[in-house]
Amino acid sequence: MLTPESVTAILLTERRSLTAFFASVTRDFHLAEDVFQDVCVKAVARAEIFDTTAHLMNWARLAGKNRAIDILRVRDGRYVGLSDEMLSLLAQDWPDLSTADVMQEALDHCITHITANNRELLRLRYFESRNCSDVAAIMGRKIETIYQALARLHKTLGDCIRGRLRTESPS
Amino acid sequence: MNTNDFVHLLMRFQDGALTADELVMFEAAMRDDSEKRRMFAETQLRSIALHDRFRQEAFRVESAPIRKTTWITRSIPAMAAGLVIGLFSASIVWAISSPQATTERLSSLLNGSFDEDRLERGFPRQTGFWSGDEATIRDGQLHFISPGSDSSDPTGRAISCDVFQLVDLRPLRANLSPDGDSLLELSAEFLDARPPNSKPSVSFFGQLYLFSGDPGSLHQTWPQSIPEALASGSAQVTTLGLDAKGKRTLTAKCLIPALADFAIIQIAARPNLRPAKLEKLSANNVKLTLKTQPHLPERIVQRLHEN
Repeated sequence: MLTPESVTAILLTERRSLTAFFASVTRDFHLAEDVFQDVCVKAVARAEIFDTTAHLMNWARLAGKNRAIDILRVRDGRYVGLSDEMLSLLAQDWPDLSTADVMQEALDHCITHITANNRELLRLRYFESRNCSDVAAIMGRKIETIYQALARLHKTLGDCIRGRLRTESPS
Repeated sequence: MNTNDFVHLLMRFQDGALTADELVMFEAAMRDDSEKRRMFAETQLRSIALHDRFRQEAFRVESAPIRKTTWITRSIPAMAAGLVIGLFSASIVWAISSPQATTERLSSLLNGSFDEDRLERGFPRQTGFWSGDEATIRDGQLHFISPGSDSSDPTGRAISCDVFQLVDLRPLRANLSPDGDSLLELSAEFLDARPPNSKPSVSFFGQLYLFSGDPGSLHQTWPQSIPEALASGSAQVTTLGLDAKGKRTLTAKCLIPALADFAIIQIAARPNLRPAKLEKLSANNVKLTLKTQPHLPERIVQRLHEN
């Protein structure tokens, strides 16, 4: 049985992984963070029901997914997104803390190699949470160009991160 | 579907731009291919990592020492409320709406409608008045003028124009819910009156932090002492001049731990390209509200138990 302290510690260390999963439902990182906080408070209040870390994480993903769908239904009147079946399939193999944290460290290095213009594109999209239509208007480009640029940047950063992790991992 | 087509669809999925048919196609591609599910998860993680990275840049205080947080030793309600620390851009910290809640507008936040023109410089050392970076009160509004560095680090980088007020919470203790679910809600109106599509974009923030101890000494350690807050709430919006939405109202909320002695109310405007002089950016109608017995949403937990 987990204690409230251990539930809090586990959820805080898994914040990125859980928030990324919730964002698969909300497609809005700010909203995904709200869902994460909601899940944390509920989990801490009922820590005694969790037997293991895996139990807690499964519960957190399910509770967060349901909470996110409910919020979207209240806000938009309906939920349009990945099916329950697909979200369950994704949850089975969702990366854990170690993947999320090493990715953050590698990203901090890799992002220094992209151009200022591309950094601004990523900042508008992922920090200011602007939709691609707004980003296109701000940057004076077509929306399809923005999608292509984002896809290319994800590929570039992904390749760089994987390369960096390979060189840093012990042989 | 090849990898390039899949990632392109993924970008449109994140943007909420897929048609119903495209969504079916997108799901089918992942259902049949574990490698594509891995790519999806990695891209989502990379996206949240980018979100965190840019947020850290926006709020970085270059000379701030790294401090070890002490939340683990606190009471559980304080810990639960403290989970929000660091999530500076969460639009709503605690989404609760209940017609049964008791709501009380607090008079301990003074001059929230900026009727009086008292505005001092630097981080406040006493409760009851506004103080902060270069700004002015005019025509019943707070006008942001220039970003400033922090009082405890005058040589630090000036990122945003911050104005604060310290609020004593101790007189409220008798009104707090014994279950630890009393909620403090900060709301404020912000106006970007520049012409539409003005650059740089500007982010407005409404933030509240709850601390125990002596409010008079916090100016010595702000903002390095933020990790020691018992609880915090934050809301933000980014604007590019006046648009059809006009004034934006931000609401930040947090639970009130029993040990909280005072709150720091922070309203701020941050130009997203620096250096920049702030013009035609203002705030008004700052309110602090205490909500007790807010009835935490239990529906999902009940549903999980039924399953």
